[in-house]
Amino acid sequence: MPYGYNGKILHVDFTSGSYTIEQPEEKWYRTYLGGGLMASYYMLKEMAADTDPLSADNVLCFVAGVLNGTPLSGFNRLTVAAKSPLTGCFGESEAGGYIAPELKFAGFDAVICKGRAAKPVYLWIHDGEVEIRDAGALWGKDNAATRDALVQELEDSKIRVASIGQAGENLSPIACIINELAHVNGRCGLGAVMGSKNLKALVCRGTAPEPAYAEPEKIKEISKWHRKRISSHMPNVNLGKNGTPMHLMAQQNAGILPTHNWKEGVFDSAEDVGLPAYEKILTGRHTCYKCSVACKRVVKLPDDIIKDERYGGPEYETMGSFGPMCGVKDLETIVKAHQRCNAWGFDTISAGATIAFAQELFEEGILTKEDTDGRVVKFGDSEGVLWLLEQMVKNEGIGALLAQGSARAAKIIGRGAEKFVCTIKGQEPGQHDPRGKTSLSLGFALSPTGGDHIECPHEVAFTGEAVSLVKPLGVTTAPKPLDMGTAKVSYFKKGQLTWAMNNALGICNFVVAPLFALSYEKLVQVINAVTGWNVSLYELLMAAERSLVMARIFNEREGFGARDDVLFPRLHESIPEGPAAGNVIAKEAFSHSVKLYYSMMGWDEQGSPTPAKLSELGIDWIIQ
Amino acid sequence: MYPSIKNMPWGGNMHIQLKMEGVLQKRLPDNAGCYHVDEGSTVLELIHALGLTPEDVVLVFVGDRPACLETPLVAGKTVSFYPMLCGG
Repeated sequence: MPYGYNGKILHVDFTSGSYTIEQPEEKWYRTYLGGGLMASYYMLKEMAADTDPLSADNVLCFVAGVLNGTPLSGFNRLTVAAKSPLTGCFGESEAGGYIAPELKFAGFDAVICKGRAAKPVYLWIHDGEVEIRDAGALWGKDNAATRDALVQELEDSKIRVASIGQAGENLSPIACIINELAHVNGRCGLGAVMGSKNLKALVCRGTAPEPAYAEPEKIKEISKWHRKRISSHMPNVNLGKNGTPMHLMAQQNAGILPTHNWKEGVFDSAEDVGLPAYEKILTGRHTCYKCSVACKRVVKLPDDIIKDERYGGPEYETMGSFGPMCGVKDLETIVKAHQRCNAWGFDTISAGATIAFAQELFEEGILTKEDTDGRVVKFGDSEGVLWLLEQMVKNEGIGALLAQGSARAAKIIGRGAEKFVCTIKGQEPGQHDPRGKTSLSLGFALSPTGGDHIECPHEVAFTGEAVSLVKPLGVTTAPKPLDMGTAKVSYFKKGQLTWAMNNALGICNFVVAPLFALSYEKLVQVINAVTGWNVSLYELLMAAERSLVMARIFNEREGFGARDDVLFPRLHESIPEGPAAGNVIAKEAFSHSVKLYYSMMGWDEQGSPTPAKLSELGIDWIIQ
Repeated sequence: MYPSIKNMPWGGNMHIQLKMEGVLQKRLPDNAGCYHVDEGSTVLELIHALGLTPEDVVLVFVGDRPACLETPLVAGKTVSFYPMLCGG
């Protein structure tokens, strides 16, 4: 059994109510590490092409990484992956919190789920034991009530729970999965995949010792170094002090704060919903398993139908999607929307962006009062935003349409609605405008999951002398935020690999190079101290590339290709006003850059990884 | 109110160069090529002297090395500021 792992993969078939335990060889672990990389192995091996994402045949993977459970800050991410009901693509989403380490402590490195239970169930994994238990009494409950009921039933307050709310039960393609009520696998609608399997929750508890490590003392030494550096390294100090909410005013000051369904880049009430206002409601900080960054927020809650401190305060993405995107000018409404989304299990990015899309349709006369029970739905209407969210969770009226996400809703609505859809491969992207940092345009278009803002470190921090931070990746020319040429594509390719590596290892991007405290040198040291493998950064980046290529192959199998590696039309229009007025992603330059990326990746002109590339990465079994 | 002596060409007893990236460029003072500070001044003191806050910057370099808020400035070195404009 390899150090750092349990050496056990749990396979559950909910149709038969049975499970098996696989014990892969060490070589396999070193090839497929964890996270989305390990998930893609099972998704390609065990799922046929054209599988309906909400059918019993979808393969739903909960995957920890080799580093999960070690005492280092930020080594706690859980990957959930399956074919996405939102995009039809490779679906992958990461969350911090506590459940990935607990899954390791409970005895498994990953849980691979197939089938569909005849009635609602939850999966209870404890100290190597596995039980599929009745969740009839939990079905219909929100996430906090679900967790509370599970604690009571299992008589253990230390369980860790990843659950779905009503959105996942209703099979909304923008449903999320939440662990410990504040840590969300938000993207790709994977909550609906849980719902389709009648799986209400994954519950873990482990009391056994951690997996064995090759050099435990070395791990302690690096952990101590890491924590000390986090306490003084500027990006981490700022993140701990202000959390991600600080990004809202930063985007506003740069003129690239997505506003009114991406129509504008500045919001006239940004200070009312940004950090200055947030500081007035901040009551505390929260964190993930053993992380000293503590970027999560706790806030004073307004009275509302959902009011539970455990859901935490909104992060930047939620603030952006329900604030400027919807034209909402008060933080109180954003906090309410955040609480409701976490309780009911909606991805806040897609939910907010879909409501903004509906608001624009209404202002354009495509939706009318006849579609909205007589309500006016327009930008800036705080009560209207909350009303729409309620309609969405009830699956009623216009809400039943919007719970499908904006791209599907547009197809159903017709009447020219598709013109206002701002999605990529069907997924609403995060609140970052590529017209001020162009690597995001490549990230949005080339992410296998569609519309992903966490595809490559945003280049603004690596211009000038700071290019030294990305030199270990082989970046030799400092990227310029508005450049769209060869240097940018080269930067993007390497940056994409470093964040794909984090996903495969189960590491939070906020603790590690290139921007944050743990250097590449120390990262390699700690992996070797855990595994005893003597890996290099080169080997890890090659594993990251394997992950990207396997996801790309999965998408090809589903019929996606170069024609889908595009942006929504609004990003090819100039930002109308503000500090970034006139900024645009020029179509021709963008298309050229995408082709250049294919070439740099060793893919053919249609963006298809070549057989030689698959052989190089040791995954030619995919096409045999 | 009189301007801080540190911001005047004749103020402070050592000089540095300033460089700002992205949206911060508009905050670059005219005397960025020869900016005077007191010996022993820190990055944090410089941030305040420039009318910035630590929340405005994601990273500061002194010469070719990333700095902390407490990092002392070094005579003749360029101090580079990077705007808070990252993601996640």
